[in-house]
Amino acid sequence: MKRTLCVLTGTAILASMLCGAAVTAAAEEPVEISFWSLAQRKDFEDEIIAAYMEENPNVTITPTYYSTDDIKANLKVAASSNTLPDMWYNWGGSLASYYPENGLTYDFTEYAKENGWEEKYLGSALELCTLEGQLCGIPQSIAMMAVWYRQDIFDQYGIEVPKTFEELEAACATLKENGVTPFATGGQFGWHVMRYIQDLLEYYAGAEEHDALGLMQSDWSSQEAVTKTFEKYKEWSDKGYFNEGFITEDPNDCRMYLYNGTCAMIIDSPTMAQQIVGAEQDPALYSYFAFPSETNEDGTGRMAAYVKMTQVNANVTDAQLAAITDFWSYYYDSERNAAFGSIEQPIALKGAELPESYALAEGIMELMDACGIYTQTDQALPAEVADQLFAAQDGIALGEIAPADAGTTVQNGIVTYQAENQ
Amino acid sequence: MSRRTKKICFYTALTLLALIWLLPVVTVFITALKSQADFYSGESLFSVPEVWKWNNFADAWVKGRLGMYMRNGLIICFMKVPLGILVESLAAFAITRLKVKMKNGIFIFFLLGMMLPHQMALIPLNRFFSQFGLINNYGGLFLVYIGFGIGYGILVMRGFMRTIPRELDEAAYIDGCAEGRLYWNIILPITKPAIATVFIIDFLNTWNEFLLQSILVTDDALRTVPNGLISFMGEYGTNYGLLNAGVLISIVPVLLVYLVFQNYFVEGMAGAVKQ
Amino acid sequence: MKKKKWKPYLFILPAFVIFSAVVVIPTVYSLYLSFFSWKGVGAKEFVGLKNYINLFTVDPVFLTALRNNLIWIVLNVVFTVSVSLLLAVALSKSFKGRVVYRAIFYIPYMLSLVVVGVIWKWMYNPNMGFINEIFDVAGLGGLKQNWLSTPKIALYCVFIAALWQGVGQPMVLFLAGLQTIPVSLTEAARIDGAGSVKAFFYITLPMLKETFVIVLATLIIAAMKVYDIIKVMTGGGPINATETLASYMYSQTFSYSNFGKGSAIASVMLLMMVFIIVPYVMYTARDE
Repeated sequence: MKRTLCVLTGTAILASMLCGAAVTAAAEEPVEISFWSLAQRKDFEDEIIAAYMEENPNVTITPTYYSTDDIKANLKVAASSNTLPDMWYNWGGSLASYYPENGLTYDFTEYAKENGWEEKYLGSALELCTLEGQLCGIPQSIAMMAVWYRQDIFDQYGIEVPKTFEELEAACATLKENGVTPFATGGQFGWHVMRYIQDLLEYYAGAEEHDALGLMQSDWSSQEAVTKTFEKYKEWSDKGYFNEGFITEDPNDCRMYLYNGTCAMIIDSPTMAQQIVGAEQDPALYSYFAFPSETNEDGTGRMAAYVKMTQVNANVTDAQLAAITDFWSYYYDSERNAAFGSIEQPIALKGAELPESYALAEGIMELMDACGIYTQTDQALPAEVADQLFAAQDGIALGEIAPADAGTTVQNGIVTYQAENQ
Repeated sequence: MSRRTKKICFYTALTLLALIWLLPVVTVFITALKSQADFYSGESLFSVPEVWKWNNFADAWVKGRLGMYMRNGLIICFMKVPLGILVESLAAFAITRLKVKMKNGIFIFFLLGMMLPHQMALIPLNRFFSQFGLINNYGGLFLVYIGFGIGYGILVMRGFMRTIPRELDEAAYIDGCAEGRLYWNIILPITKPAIATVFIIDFLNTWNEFLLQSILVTDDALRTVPNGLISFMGEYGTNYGLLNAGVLISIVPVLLVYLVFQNYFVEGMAGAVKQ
Repeated sequence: MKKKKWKPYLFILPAFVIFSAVVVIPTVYSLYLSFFSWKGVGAKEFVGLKNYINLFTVDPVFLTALRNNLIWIVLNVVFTVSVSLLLAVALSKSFKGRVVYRAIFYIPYMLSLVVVGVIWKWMYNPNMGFINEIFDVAGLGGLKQNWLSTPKIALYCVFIAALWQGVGQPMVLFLAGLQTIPVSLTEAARIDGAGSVKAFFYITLPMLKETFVIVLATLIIAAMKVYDIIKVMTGGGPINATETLASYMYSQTFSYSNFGKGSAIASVMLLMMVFIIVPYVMYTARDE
């Protein structure tokens, strides 16, 4: 087992520190930092970087922006030709673990202890940034999956927010009877449909067993919960609970079915709040609830979550490291950073408040604290195993793979992966 | 059938086909004029925009920084394409008209360049380029683009040069022409249609090239058009209005190059080949 | 006389030098990598032919991808060639508005494949797409499909989008090729009483031999390398039904970090193209 999620325990009894208090960017010698980020952040990140460099004239940050696919591939190319930048944006889980696994990222474990990160960052964020036993990045934002729904449609058919799994199914049945497709999803890359699978798995397997499956410690081919999950998914798919042709729908486009009222629910992260505004929809029609997978006493379940982080090159100098941490403190300081409202939320700092652009997602941090989290499946599983799960999802919906055999498909992927990565 | 009915049939068939071909392009135009709310209303792609958002074009231009990217693209294309054609035509000339051993071997060797999946070249190229300080250097980028374009250029020009009658060369040699002058004064002018073809297609490929550039050029001020368009395709959603407006703006130069050169090669050729 | 022997090679030299530096070295490096197990960083482990053997024996996707590429080659050779040739012949005649028509068929080729994929994904959308709408309007609602989600037809649906985009390039090549056919030849045939169809098959087609080499080589290579449009429209799905060698190589290399296996796939692609194209080129060049 290569991937271990080290759980950070206990709260350090330290004097509370303010953001960035530990960092002094006193060094006057020039510091240069290269930074790879995402294209759609260019607008506000250019602005933040310029403002930061104005305040810290000795620091030069040179950003390069890539599309979501290119940054993944180009980081691999850079890693294999030894040209990684000083810091780079990354998702969590199996996308990020490649770098600590190969000793390419700075391990913040000690640094975090010395600088009181436990006081500063959300425990769940630090947990998700800890891969291969290393704290391998600076947490940025955390995404947790909730069911977003159209309040007006629920009201119209007298549907209450479901508190149990049974109620959820009843709600789906009512919606379908009235010609509304319950769920919107887009299976083109697999991971969006997976959001339904993982919550079903949480419901059928329970927290402990689900984690064991995610860590590949439990055999997917022999678990009854896995079969039940796939059977339920098949049932929903056959009943038309997902939008027509969802298997190759683009996950970013499937929100449209919520916007135009053909679908009533979607499992999505808090960025949904910003998307609704960006797509010029009426925010008053939308709200969210935790998927009722009943792992908690009140009927809610743990929420799938993943983190976004900044990974730092293992070879940075002390001066670069100081400037990098100082820059990110600045980045997430709503007082100093004028572009704060544009950055992705919710950020991973304790006690941070959502900006106005995320008004719809208000309360989601509290909900997450109450529900607890588990690692999103495609970040828990290695990419090639996750791809087998995605193929199984397609196969079940199309009737080419029996739900009872799908666990074996995934398990075969695990066996192949483990053989290749001894 | 009379000449007239034949003509009518010909026009009708062609126009019908052209309309089918244009349909998807029409959706690009309509979408370019829609607001986000309008697009997501779930109406047909062909539904007329509720509000005609001409602003999308201005927004795409500013947000996508298309001005800067298009200028860079033009610099790269107008330097790389002629340079590439020169190199390719010299080689094609040698393997079709001069005494060279293993002509087909050499030709196939160059064709391999077209066959290599570009992704596989990224790692070694990136390694060599960063060692020699060629990252963010147009000189380095030209080399790579020319290298990857050589296969295609030689393929096209070899084909055309092979159709030029041998008698021309013999006459030239008798007149005391050396190889260099035969190439420059006689063969190259006759190859104009091929040159125009390569120019059009190579210009387009270079204009849209993204993969190699994204790894070899990390300085935004040096990047080209595709970089402007990707910023409309975000992690969570695509702004289709801006994307389509951006696409329409960005094809203007390629369309102009096409119109200029296609006209040139068609008319310019009329007399040249008649023996 | 001595001078002449090496002088011709001077013409090839610039191409040779640049080509070797940026194409040959990466190719050789890629071939070399295909014999190793390598995660991109750290030690490479020599595994001989294991990567290749695994691809053909145990790999669940490789053979599907290979088959899809072969299908794509056939589709390209049959449909893209015939449609573009037909268009070129029609548009080489001199008539009013010729330039406009030529531009119309070439415009799709100016769009990058990513954009083409986005457009056609919307055309095929089962809920608001144009194609299902047409069937509705025509009263053929029963023929409506989830075009891209049906494994048996998904690949062909993607090909139609690629065909729409792709005819422009061979059309331009054929147009240029048709220019090199002396008008006197076809006219002479007409005077001899040959119909225009006959003249086309006996005069025009043989005269286009060189253009065909160019077009076929280009299309076969493009078919082996098809990637972007698949990625945008289906992402290789459903159940890997539209996976191609290039998309699978990309996953192996950049998603799974199996650089050796990715290189092996690239090498298989390269070898297949060589096996298909070289005999054809040799055959057409035999009269020299």
